[in-house]
Amino acid sequence: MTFVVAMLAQSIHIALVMAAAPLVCGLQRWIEARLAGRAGPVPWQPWSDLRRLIRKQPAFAENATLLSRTAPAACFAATALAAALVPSFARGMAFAPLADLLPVLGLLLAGRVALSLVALETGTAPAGLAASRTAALACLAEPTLYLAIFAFGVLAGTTNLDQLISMQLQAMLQPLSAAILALASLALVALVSPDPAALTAELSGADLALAAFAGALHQLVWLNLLVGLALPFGMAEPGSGPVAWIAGLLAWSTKVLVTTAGIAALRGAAGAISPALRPRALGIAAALGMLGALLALASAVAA
Amino acid sequence: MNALLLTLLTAALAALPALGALAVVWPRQARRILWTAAAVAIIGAAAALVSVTLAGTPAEITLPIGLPASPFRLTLDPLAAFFLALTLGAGTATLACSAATEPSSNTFAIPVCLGFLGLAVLGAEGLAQGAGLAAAGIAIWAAGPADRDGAVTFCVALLAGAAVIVAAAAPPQARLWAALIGPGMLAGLAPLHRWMAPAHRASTHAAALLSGAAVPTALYLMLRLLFDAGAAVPPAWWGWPLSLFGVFSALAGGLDATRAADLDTALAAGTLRQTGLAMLGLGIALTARAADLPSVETMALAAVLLLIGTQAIGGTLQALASSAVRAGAGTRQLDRLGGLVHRMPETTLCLLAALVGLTALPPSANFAAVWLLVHALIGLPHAAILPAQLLRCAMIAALGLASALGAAGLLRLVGVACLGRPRTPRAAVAQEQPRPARLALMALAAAVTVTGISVGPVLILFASQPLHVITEAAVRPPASWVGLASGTDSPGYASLPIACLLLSTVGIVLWLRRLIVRSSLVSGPAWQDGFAAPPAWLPFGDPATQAAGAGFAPDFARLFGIVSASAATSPRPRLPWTEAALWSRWGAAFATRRLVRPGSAPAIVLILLAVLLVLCSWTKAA
Repeated sequence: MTFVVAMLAQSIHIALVMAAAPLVCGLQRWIEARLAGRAGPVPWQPWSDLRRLIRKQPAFAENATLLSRTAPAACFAATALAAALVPSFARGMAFAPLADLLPVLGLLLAGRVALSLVALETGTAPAGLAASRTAALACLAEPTLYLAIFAFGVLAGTTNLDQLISMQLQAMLQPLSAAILALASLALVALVSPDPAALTAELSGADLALAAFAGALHQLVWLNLLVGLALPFGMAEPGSGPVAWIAGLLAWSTKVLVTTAGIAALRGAAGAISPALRPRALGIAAALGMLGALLALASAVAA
Repeated sequence: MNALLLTLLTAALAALPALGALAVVWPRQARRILWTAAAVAIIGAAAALVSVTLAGTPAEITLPIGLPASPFRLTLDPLAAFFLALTLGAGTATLACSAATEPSSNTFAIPVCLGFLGLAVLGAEGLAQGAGLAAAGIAIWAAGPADRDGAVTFCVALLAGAAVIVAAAAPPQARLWAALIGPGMLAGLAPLHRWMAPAHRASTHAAALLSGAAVPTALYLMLRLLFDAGAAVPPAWWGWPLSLFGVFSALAGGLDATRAADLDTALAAGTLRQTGLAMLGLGIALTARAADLPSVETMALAAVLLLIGTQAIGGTLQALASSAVRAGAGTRQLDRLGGLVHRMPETTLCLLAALVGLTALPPSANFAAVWLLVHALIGLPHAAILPAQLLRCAMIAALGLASALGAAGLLRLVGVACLGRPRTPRAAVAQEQPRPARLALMALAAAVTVTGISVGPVLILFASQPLHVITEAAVRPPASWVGLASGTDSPGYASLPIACLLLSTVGIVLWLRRLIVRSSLVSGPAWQDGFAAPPAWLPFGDPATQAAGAGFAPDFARLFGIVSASAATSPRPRLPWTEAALWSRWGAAFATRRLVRPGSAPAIVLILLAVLLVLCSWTKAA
């Protein structure tokens, strides 16, 4: 019975993130446009774009192989699986034992790698450059991610996301400063992660829709991860019923709305991070992650 | 049962050099002899695999060869059987590939080398191990061209063998340095790794044995030297040099793989990365043993076994795929390849499978090993002093960087060599290799993929007994039937469900895509940001609009801020580390040009032996 309830919660979660990912993306663009004094596209514009793309007939470059038709699906699947693993409104969902931080972030990277292979397939200059840039930024971001995961592992003794969130709820991730630094480094990496649009220059139709959907899901995975670890209150307990779920859904939508508005305001005020500044920002993130890991180690020695 | 298996294995290992000798005197039947050798090797691998799962007393056999006073003794315990299965499995694929393609005059070296590697693995004491290692290295050297690079391989093999022999007789305190200098160099440890790439470029299938069988054997001997039952508990500081050398190797390998100009050098760099990660695991395991933390030690050792196993399967696969590319497209220069996926689809798929297996992307075997390493580092006792804590954080960051560099290397190799447009007419008419060779590659690709997906069952089946031999305690591998477990109450990494979910999602999405996209395939010139299609006299497009083979990787020095953007474009500034790099490069060039000549190999080995002996006696006196 418990498993059925957990499976039900998991299904609702999957449906929720699938529906919400393009909406959150559109919402952020709309708020940004409003803050800049423009009317902006409606928040559900990404959904309309996806529908339009799916109806179009996909066209391929002459030298494209089976890879161009399968890799976007692989990218989408990897990102969607990561999205299914990161909890949103309830803890103790059916996939909770699978939701380790390393595989979740590894799946995101795997999705990007699959998309980069598509970009390299046609052998055109812009897509190849984008693939190279993606690989370079991954090299700068990945050490930070490992440092943050290490910090959480030392603080909690586990890297399972569900357990981490429960410990955060019980204020057991001590010292808080280490957790905050690790979270800040993760947030900076998430903010700097590049837009995959350049990788999909040679895709069209349903394949482009898959890649765009994966991009929106990628963003929502980061949002859920950070919101879950930083503001875990309001999530339904493991094994709870529909009432708690509705409360959890309300709490989750409030948190996501506020965070999205915050990110949009930040981007409106500071502008998008220019590509030249990305390595520097990732360097700062690495320093924050290192500091978090050091603090975690020091507290582990003291305890 | 073990005694029976040992007799069978000894017979197989004796038959392999004999078959090699037969191929020399009877070159016309070389192909048939190589197929026979492949059959012998696969029977041996199967026998070894059976022995891995058997608990019980190790069997022993005394050979009628060796020194008069001390004949060679062979012992079969689960740890030796694990590495013998890897070596013979890699050897089977190599033999099958060289038998299926045109056997050249020096293919005789492959079964000979395999037999001697088996001797090194099964040898009960340092003499047999060292002699086997040295003889195997000499066989690889004999298979390559007789030039300076070959001479270096020869020296390295002799030195590694000599170091193993010396280490067995040396006091336990000297073992660390003997292990680092001898087997460490053969495995390609970072400051001593420069010989690896030329040895890989020696254009024979023997290079596949080098990365798929010789490197695992060297790591096995290192494991024996450092964790041997005879030695007391190793001092706690031994873990630090091992981990640091390992991290350095992993980073150097990852960086080289993104910069190398040809396929073989890049693959050798990949081997170096894998070796480095295994060394890091060994260092963690030693630290954990000194701190009496058997669960952490088991985790690190399981990661080491997994990394070496992946290297044996994936390393052989990538080396064989690279030699198929060289045979089919006529070059290994990345600048002259491209678009191989159209002409060599199966080889491309195999190369992709090998590189994914060796990269930390879930659900690959390398990812599982990295997961274990991260958790072992988390579980280690935390030193109270700041420098030690800083070093541990640096190790974690380096692990992440090595993983990302692996992904970048994968993208570069597959993207430049196999995808895109052909860069030369020769690459445009590349030919796939014969069917039996492709089947051997496919089998290896399936093996490396299945290892990654079902890492838990693989560890439980094949690593339980070897781990028991190393730790000498009733430990369970850090695995469950669905994946990995870190020993605490945390659920761990469930590779099997994650892989199943991933595959089923891909299947569902592709099925839905098929339902939606009903029309036939539409294709045209590449979009390329709106550029016009290339004219008719450029059938593969304008070469200048495609990334060059060497140009894919970013300038990491500039990226990491070591050199500022303006300094990188202006004439090279003479910073202290630039000076140091120039001087060390000059020294290395001097050493290879002046000192290492084909004739001077024995002299160098003698000198190094003397140095080792002095070192040993000094340690004993201290």
